[in-house]
Amino acid sequence: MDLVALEQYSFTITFIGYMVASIIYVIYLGYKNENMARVATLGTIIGFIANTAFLILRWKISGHPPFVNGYEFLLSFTWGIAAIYLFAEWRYGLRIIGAFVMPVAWFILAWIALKMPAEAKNAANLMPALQSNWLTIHVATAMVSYGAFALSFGTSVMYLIKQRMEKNTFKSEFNKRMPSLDVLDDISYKFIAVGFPLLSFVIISGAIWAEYAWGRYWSWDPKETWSLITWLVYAAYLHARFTYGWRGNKAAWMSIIGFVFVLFTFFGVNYFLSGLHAYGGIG
Amino acid sequence: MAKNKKKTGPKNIVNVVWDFLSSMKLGITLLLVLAVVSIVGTIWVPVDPFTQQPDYLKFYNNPLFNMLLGLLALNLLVCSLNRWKVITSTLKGPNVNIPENFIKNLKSGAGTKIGADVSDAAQRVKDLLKKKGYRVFSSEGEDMFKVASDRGHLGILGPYLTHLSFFIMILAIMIKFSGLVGFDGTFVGWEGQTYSLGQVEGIRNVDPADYFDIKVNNFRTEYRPDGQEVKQWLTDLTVIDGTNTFNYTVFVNKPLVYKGMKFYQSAYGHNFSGKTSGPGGQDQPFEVGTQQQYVQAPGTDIALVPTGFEDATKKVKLRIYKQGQWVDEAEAVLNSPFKYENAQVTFEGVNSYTVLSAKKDPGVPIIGIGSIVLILGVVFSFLLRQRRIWAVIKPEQGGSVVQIGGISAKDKRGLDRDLDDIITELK
Repeated sequence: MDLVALEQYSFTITFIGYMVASIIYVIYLGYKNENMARVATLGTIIGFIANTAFLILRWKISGHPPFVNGYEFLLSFTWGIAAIYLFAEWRYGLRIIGAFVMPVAWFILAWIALKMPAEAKNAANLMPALQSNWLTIHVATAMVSYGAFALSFGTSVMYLIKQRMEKNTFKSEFNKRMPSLDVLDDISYKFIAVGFPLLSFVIISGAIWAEYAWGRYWSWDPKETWSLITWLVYAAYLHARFTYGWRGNKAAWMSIIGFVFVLFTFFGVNYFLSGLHAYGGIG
Repeated sequence: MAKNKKKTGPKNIVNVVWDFLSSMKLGITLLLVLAVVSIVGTIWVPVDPFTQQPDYLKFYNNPLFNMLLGLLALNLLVCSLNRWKVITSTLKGPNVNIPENFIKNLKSGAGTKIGADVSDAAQRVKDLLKKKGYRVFSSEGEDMFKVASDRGHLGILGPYLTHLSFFIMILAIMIKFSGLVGFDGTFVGWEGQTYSLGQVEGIRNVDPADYFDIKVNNFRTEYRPDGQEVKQWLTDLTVIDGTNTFNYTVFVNKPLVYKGMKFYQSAYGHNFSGKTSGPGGQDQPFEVGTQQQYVQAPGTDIALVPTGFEDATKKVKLRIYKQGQWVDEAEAVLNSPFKYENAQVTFEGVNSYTVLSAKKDPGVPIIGIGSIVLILGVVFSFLLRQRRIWAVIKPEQGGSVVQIGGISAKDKRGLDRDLDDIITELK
């Protein structure tokens, strides 16, 4: 059994699964058919299983946890998004959120399929600094926290759209289909409440690992600094919410900016800035 | 009618400063300002003239940046002190003596009639609350019972613990930067040599009586099966401390820890010696180090740069340059002539040195404690979510009427569920 071929198949199935799911969830925005929406959920589940299979196969092939190069990071990120999304769908039963979250996962895979050169996808060996159990702890936690922030991002975007529709008092079918502003705001907060403690642990586990590897728990390396910047934005969000009742519109914007920073910490630092942390670059 | 103007006395400077510092708005603003300023530091990065590497510390160690951090810490401290009364009163429990219409004005609440007398009804309410894990307080009045209860009140300590953890970490950082304890140095050791701790560059705050020796037995590079990718850098050394002697191998992610000091594999270098000849056939001796120097085969345009040494196979990894251009890569086995076009090189000797980061930082365990407190605080904040429920029980024809309601900032769903359950059980 050629594991490498299997791994490539699992990428393809993940791609198709998330694509079908994303397209149907978006159609579901305008065309309310519950059976069709169930197919979208099925697509997400199949994609998630394939995504999991990919990570396991990659682990077996490379001999190390699938958290080393950009290809592995991105597939771990899509896994985190799908995992959190499936949990949210189960918990809240609001499939309409899928239209704003699953496309994020699918666009990442589409970008990989179109833009990433084959060499960048090859399983590589662990460089000395990455040979540590902290690799799994630190990165796996990050992926779940990023997934939670992605979900919060999706519901915040929905909030802003809903708010605009309410302002225009245009009683469209779409407006009625969207969950209420309160529900969207609450869900958005709840997932930040999941992501924030996890992000705190990501930063701390990173510092502990750095202490073992280099003897420096904090170096103001761009990746470290950007994760702190992201953390500060979400901390401001939580404080503003509880002390000044900053919910609704302001909270939605902060959640969106927070996720943009999550993406920059993830991609931007590797591709635009340099430093000790530049493992994920393809260049 | 003349308005009575209340004249307030001049606010003294202490009050003004305190009020400013105790503002949460200041805190939120500082968090965001800090985020923006930190972004600048990742983009506007000076290059260290000596190492040609980006020097991030220049921005973040700047006193102005640290003053910003200090201001946030001060703001945090003042806010925490101000909120202490709220914390203690919350921990004590919700107020039982609420006015009657307090419950009616709550967003979450309901009322129901039950066919039991007032004291029985009150007891049932109290029992139901206790079963749901609430702390119950009650008072008995002339013709009514008042009950107040809460759960998850410890959650209010969450932010306090998290904020405390920041102060713990600030303490650790101040210890590190004070220079009064610990050190941050570099150990350079050639294979076969023995060094005293005192020879560590940058060592301080260590009693010379505690010095010990380190003998570098071997520095080696392990390569992957392809022979090109490095797998690990290892230093085999022997620690000689009076009668206590032991061997240890340092590699990346596995530092030597001894007497509170840590030694991390940081860098290395090799010196190669041998002979080289060109078309003329005359052997010339050479000595080179990695990356800086090259072996020029005499009378040819071929130069070789050693890029590493694989101890297991005794192979010198080479880059080959022709007319100054990098053209090829190869390996030369020690004591075996290596030929490339009309050049010949024989590597005969290799002597390596290892560079270890040597550090002692008593602040590290304090950071560890701070980390645990931070995580604990975050867990408290998000898992322990306070719910408060009040009830007023009054007599009514045929029994009594129970008015029950509650508040929960973080867990309205749980609160509503509890209220529904209690009402259902009461009926």
